[in-house]
Amino acid sequence: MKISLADKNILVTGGARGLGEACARTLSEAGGRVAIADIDFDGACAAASRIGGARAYACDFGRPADISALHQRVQRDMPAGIDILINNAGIIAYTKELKVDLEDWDRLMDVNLRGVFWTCREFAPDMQSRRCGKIINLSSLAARIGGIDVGVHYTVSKAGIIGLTRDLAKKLGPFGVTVNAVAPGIMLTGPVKEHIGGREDGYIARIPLGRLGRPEDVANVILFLSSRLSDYMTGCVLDVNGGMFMG
Amino acid sequence: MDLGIKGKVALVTGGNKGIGKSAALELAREGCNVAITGRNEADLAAAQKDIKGLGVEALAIAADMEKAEAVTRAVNRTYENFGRIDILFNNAGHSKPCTPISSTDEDWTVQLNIHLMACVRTCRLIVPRMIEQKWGRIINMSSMYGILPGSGVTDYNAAKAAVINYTQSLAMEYSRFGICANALCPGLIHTEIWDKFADTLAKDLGKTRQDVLDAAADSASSVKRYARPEEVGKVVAFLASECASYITGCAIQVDGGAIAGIEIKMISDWIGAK
Repeated sequence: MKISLADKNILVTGGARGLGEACARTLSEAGGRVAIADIDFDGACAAASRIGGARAYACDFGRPADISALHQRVQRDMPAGIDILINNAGIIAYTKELKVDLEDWDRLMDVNLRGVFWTCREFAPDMQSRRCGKIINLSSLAARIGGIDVGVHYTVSKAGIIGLTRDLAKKLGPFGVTVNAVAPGIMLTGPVKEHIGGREDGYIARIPLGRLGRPEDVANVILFLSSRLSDYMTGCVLDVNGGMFMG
Repeated sequence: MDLGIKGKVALVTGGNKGIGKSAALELAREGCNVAITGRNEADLAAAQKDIKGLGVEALAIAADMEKAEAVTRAVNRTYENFGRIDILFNNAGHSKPCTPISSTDEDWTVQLNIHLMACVRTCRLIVPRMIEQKWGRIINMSSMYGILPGSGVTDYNAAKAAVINYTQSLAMEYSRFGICANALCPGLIHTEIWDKFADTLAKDLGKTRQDVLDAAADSASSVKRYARPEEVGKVVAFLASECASYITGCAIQVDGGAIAGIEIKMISDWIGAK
């Protein structure tokens, strides 16, 4: 079976690099029309041109006004509306310090949690009125087992995503809109590689599948959740972690 | 994106009807050769014909997976016929109403045999060869009741919870050999089992089958509807595929938001009202 997203309009937030870009590429290859929104507009443009046929938008997901403006622009460019929303934009913070700065806490929460809610608040009503739509939110292994290297604020934001996902699943389910979360384990993306460089074996020893994750591992699962294959799944958290946490 | 399992061999227990048959058909559409087991030979023959109609090989094995010797026979027959098993979907199962104190030792043995021990027995025979192949997909059927119990089927709840735990042990021990093991937790899926259950309840309550099904869908799922069996079959095909190669040890819910909303109490209420 070829999973096809032909004629689907897709928005991937934070799609300029890493998991977001892998996801945008996979969904585009499946035939979807992809829009990438990222705080790094040049990065979003570069990713869009690498993927080919994708649109790029600038958006700081920590600023609700930016998200509302993004919605206006996307709606103008894709008048049929967004069918699939991938809430991937987020800040990762590495720290073992309990003394997280208030400013850092607020900035991270504004992007990772409030930003996701605000994006749903903007895009979901149209999905509701068309009685179709799929929302996929990025959580994290940290929300399942506590952070290994990441800050407490990151863990809390990603745990919040699970509650948000379940709540929205319940509220939007009667309108035919599904809402699910994906919780990746340790993925080989730029910042992670940089952070764990030289210590890979220590991590691999704790992963039953015996390897670190690749962005495509998550992108393929997001493709599944974006497709008709998962029509009866909503409110779920799919762990893509090679068995590090079994939920 | 192609699922990438063309030419693989799948064994689907209870593949003669319902979710099992849907999964067998989805796997066949992906180009897998499929062996199915079932107790009802007429259903089995019909399912075999449907699978063959998709242009793959199909083997039908009459077997009651509750019995250890039948499990061994079914697995051996599949190996004799196809030479390998890449995908194992332990799906066969059934339940009957009971309470925590009414279920007899015999009832418990039946539930544990058909749900838990059938998984254990198939895996004992199949996992060593999956390890040699360095590739395998095991999908064990649990239930939303394996995550949180539903009222009126105590022994079934416990057996399904055990299936999740056993599946996680499989994942823990054998994932490093390229074997992904996951449990599947469906919610309200419109199969014959639900029709029968609804008929029993409807009779007791002076309602119609549709009344019961509608009430269940309304209060036990966020999406307010039953799933068609193929909506689970497609998830099985995904879990069997290359797309799911980093998912292992998970309990995958296909429940229309039932656990998410924890709204599986309607059926409990109805049984309580009896």
